[in-house]
Amino acid sequence: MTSERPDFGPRPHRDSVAAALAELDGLVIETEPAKVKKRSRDFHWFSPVLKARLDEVTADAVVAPADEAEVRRVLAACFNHDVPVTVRGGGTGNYGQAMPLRGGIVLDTGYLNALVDVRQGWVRAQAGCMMGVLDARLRERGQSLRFHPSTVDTATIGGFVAGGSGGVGSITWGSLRDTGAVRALRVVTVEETPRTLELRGSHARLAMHGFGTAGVITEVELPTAPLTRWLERVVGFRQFARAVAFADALAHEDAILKRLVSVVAAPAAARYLFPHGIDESTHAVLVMVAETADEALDELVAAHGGSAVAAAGSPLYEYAWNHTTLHALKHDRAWTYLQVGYPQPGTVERVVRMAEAFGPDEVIPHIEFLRMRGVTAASGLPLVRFTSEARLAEIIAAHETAGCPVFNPHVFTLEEMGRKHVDKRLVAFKQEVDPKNLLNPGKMLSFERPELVQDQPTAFGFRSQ
Amino acid sequence: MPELHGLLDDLHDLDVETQPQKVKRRSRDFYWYSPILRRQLDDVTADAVVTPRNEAEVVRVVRSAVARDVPLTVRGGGTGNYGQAMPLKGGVVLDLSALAAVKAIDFGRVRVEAGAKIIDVDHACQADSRQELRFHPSTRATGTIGGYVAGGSSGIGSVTWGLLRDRGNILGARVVTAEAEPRILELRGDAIQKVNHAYGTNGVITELEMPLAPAYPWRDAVVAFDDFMVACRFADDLARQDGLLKKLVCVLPSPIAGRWVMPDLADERQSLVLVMIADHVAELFRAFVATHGGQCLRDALPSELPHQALPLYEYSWNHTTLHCLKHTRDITYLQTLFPPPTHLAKVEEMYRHFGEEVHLHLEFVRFGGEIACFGLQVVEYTSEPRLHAIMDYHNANGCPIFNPHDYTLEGGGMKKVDTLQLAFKREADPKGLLNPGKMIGWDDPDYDDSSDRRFLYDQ
Repeated sequence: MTSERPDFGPRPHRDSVAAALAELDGLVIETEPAKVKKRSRDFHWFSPVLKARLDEVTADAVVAPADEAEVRRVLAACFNHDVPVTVRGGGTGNYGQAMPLRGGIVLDTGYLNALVDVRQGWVRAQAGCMMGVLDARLRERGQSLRFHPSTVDTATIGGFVAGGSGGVGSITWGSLRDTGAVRALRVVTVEETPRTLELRGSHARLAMHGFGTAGVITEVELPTAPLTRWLERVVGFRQFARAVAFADALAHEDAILKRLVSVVAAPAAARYLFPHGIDESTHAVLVMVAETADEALDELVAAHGGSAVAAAGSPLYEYAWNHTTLHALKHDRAWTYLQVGYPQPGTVERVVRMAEAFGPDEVIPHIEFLRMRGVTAASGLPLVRFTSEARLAEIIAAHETAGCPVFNPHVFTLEEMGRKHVDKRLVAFKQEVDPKNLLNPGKMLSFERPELVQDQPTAFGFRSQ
Repeated sequence: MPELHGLLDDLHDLDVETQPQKVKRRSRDFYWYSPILRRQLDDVTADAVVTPRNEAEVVRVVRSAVARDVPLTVRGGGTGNYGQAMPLKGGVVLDLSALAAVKAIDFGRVRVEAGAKIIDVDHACQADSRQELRFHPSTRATGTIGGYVAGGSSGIGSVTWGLLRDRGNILGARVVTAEAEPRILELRGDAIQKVNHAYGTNGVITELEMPLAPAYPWRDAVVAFDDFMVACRFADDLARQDGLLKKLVCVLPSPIAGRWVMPDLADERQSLVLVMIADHVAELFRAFVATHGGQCLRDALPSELPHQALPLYEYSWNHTTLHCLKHTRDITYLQTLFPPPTHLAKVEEMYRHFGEEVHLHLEFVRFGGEIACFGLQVVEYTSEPRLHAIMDYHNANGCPIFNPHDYTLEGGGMKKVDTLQLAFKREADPKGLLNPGKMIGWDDPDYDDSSDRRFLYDQ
């Protein structure tokens, strides 16, 4: 790895952008450079590596269509004039998912925010609908989202499906990659006359977690969860291994309905999350369980020797998942993070071993428990003190050597990230919906470099841990 | 010496039955599933059945039984399979079916009297707030909630919610002790395990507080496969799909699926997977079935089925055995845990070993945070020694049997003396009058339980 800014490929000619915009009379368009740049960014700066690489990235214009007809007009204009178009939701990604490497137009879905339909067990909304708004509307009908990122209040449902994977609630409902996580997506193609496709069931995977490279998602249909009253608890432990063992045991309790089981090790728990509740030697387990499980949780906490921590913030999920990293970064910009899998069996031992391999001065464990194909899995978002790219690479290598695969959050292409399986079927779909490769160009390397295409097709389009 | 007449005098104003045929009928359950228990228990009967109308009457019955040393065996719907509610030493059967009030329905929980029928609890919760019990036995229509907790363990819904013994699947239990002056205790948290699956040997459960799940419309789906192991792998994969909300994943093997269980739907070459799937993921479920090469023989909401059709769950769990017994009395059954994560390999091993002597009816469940399956195998019965040999082989090869041919707690699912339940019996039933003969640890303090097998109810 080097810190040099890579060549992202050609930007469109200024005249092409102007010609495309000229076809979009009546649409909401922003061209003021400072404002365009602000809306060309996300939380890529969580990574000092991406910050160095992507900091200058900006679009030429931001267009915010009011409805799907306007989306088609934008895509037709971009097709006609060969202008790249990068779809943006809430801009809460962490790897530059919505950053327009080759400039062109950022398509902001913010006005596509209608709730299309709600039924018992499912909801359909336009892609730009904020997840927090969607959840509130569902709540009125006794339902809720199954899971959401910690950025639920600012992230859009389309952005989550296009660039996210799981989050708060995944301990019960698994991740977006699971069968049944998404009922359908409505997608617009980038052609002379853009078409609208309804991708139902497993077909939706073609457009999921592709950073908007394979069609523009305009509507999302999701199964919902029943509305539940959640308890929020923070449980403190003196020993890290006991905190992990408690969290693992809780994650295995089938009768306790759970929404969040996170471990944040000392000293980060006190220093960055709950400075008034605990001291710096305490390891914290952040727990959200159904109110009906209060007594069961108390028994389990007592059995593991944990103690309740006061003065936790609410909502508790805003201290977990990627928000943990955010809180640390607010205090100290030297931190960054990794995304680590700790496979079964031996999850607890692996977590503890990796914590011991580095000290808390360099790596502070942060573990999120979730369901993966029917069993409990642990996924790490450890805080890592950044010194150099070379040292970061060593830390990644040490995890991989120990059997803990890393989904590298310091890269911005689908292939380097390793979560999305770019196979022939997906490349063929991309060819069909975006033949000129105008959608978020530079993120799907395989489309431009056929030697990278995976031979092995998967029904799921996701690599599992 | 028991003074039954004194007891009957004490309780003259209660609903008491002493007519011998009627008393014998209400002293029985489905123990006859087992040829061994049929031989052992066929003559068991109480001397009287008392049906209290409220908890105060329960206390009166218990007080009188303790004062007069009369054995007392609590009965719910009588749907047990191993004589759980059969009064080995006679005395009084305490029929709780009149204590059937649903006392309070709240967000995520219900408080109910022990004698309420499970189906009535479900209907009340559905009408109140579209909620339902997390899981129920296949005898939902006739079993009581108290009987389920006292004598059951899991059922339809366990593929999502685990077992009754899991922390959080029972929230509270109100218990009347069998002391000279009966006390009324509220057990909560882990203390509930004192009376959970204790066959009513150490207290009379009068009320329960149970957690609720949302009552989604469930579709009944029957998926056919030509190969048994393909059916098993489909069932296992389905059970692992966290995004597909389901209530039942049951494998009925060829040939008994078509021969005895669902002859109107399947033929003998087919192995069936019975699935209850939430309606709002049905479309995704169908695509999932297609990727496994299954053929849907049924895919309907109960309201779309002919009026006389049985609900799908009445072909699963212990009802599977019942359907087979209607065709032939030459079979019986087993209860087996195929432990995770190698349960499918163990199933295949037993399938190869026993062939068509042991038909592998499987129920997939969540077990300790993992997916596993229980076998409720239908066994072609030849003799008691052969049945024991079959069970021994399972136990010796990593597939622990919860012997349904044994009426004691230790001989059945517990496998060893539960010290928590035994200690509570000393406290709550010092005279040993409650369902006597079922807890070996009480009758025989020297009982050797030095077994290294895996226990269903291990604490």
